[in-house]
Amino acid sequence: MIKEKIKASLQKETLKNNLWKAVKHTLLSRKKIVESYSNWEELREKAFKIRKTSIENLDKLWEGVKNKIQSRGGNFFIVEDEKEALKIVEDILEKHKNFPIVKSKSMVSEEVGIREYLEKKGYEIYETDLGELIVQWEGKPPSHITAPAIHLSRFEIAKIFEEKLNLKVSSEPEELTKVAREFLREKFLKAKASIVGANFILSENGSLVLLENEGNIRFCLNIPEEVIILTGYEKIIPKIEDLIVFLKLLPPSATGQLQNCYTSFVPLGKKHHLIVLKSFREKILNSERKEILYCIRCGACINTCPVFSTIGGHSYSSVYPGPIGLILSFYNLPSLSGDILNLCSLCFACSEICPVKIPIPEIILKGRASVGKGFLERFISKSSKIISNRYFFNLTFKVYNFLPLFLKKIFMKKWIYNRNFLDVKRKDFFKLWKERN
Amino acid sequence: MEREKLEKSLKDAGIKFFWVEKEELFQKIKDVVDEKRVFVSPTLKIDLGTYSPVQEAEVGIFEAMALCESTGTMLVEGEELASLVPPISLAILMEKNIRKDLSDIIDIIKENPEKPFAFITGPSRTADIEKQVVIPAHGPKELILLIVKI
Repeated sequence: MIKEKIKASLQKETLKNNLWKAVKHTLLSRKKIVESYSNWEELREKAFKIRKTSIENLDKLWEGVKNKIQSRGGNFFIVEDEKEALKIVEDILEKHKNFPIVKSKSMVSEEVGIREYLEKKGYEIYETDLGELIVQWEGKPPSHITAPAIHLSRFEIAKIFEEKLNLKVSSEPEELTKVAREFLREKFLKAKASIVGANFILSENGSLVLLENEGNIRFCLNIPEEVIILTGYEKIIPKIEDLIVFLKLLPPSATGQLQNCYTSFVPLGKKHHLIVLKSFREKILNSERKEILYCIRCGACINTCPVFSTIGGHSYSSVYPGPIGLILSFYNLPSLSGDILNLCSLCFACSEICPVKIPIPEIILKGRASVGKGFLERFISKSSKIISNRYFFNLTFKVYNFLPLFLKKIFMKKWIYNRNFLDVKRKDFFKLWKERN
Repeated sequence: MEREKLEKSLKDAGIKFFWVEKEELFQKIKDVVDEKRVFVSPTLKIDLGTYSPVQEAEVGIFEAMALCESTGTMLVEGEELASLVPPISLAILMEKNIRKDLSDIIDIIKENPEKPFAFITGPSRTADIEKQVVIPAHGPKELILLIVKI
């Protein structure tokens, strides 16, 4: 399945150009900012430590949040799986069925498939992040965690707008943005409920922290009467002082900005329903690779990954593409795990860029070792032991040299497709050496 | 405070700013508002005559509680619609509330754990189409800051 998707992506000429242009831009802006910090490495180190303590104390930290929220009259749920989350959301939204529901970007909501589910049930629900609205109208999943419509050109986007809204628009990003702004402004003012995600939950005072540029999240938080927050079990940090490190690391890593336009701090209370999803996170917590949960979803590893910028986000068959996607899918989508771990060239760019220092390539390597248990893998691993023996090594060449030239050429067909054919010497190096001296 | 550094940060963030004396403040606000429909945050005590509902206003006036020198980030009351809904944002800041680093502003949030806050660093923007920056997205297209000298 993955192979077919990759083949399809590679055939799209525009995809690679769009992707390359977009990620290069973000990476260059990021680099400038990182160089302006004298203590970037120190910040990464600190972030790693904070995430480590957070993940080691998840139950305790969430207990603190629960108490805070409930004391302010809000609702708190920890759910085991997607189904449970869907049911709670539906129960909350039932009384608002006659009004539009506005939703901001949240990767957990993609995991749960909340928008598709509510659409099927007859709710009028809108993504309010521009990129997300575009892919909602395109009818495809987002292809990048911070730039969902990165796979589309302005012309393709204009076409989608024209079909959806039944009007003529130019392909200028300014005009497209204006059309979306006016369309959504009306929905914001009518909405009675919203669904948002979380960048961080602060355990100390039960607060939600959300970073954005467009202002759509502030609309979602402040206009509707009720706000549903859908987040993952790992997205918590202990104290507000810990936050400062992430507020410095995240914007450059995600979008190449020193600071994003808006950061909201919301003590969760009466109008809030916080839903925390466990699902595959439990499996990671019980494994040796808890570092996977340190991730703050900045997308920097995705931008820097040469495999991603060649094949695009849709090839990964998962909500999470790129390097971090590989290791998340390994636990989240076990059926794909063998194939998906191959989408890495082990260049280590991701571990160099990761703001919380997750050793992604090492986790991929370990993962590969653990799935390689089939007949072929065992055969190859055995034969590598045989070949490392000098006698057997020479023997393979002896056998090879026994073949006539035309058979060798057929045998080597793929190898000599764009290389010269060089035959192996009849005598091995050691023999030649002895004869000459 | 390093004035040069602050001014560079504000410029980089796309914030228009003016240093004003306390006596000039009222006149400066009137200059910005001109004939436009205006909404003033309930936390500010300024009398400009007639006001519009926030969704119809062209200018929203509000107080910035603090400003960060190194990033140009201002701290506002989180539920403040004057800083979000009207196309022009006019923020008023007392010079003494300028802080060096983001962590100094975080301290203010820490002291008020029950209050919602927002950081604002520039007018609303998006780069979701081919990474080209477009201003505005959903929020204001212009962010003007009046720094009141004391």
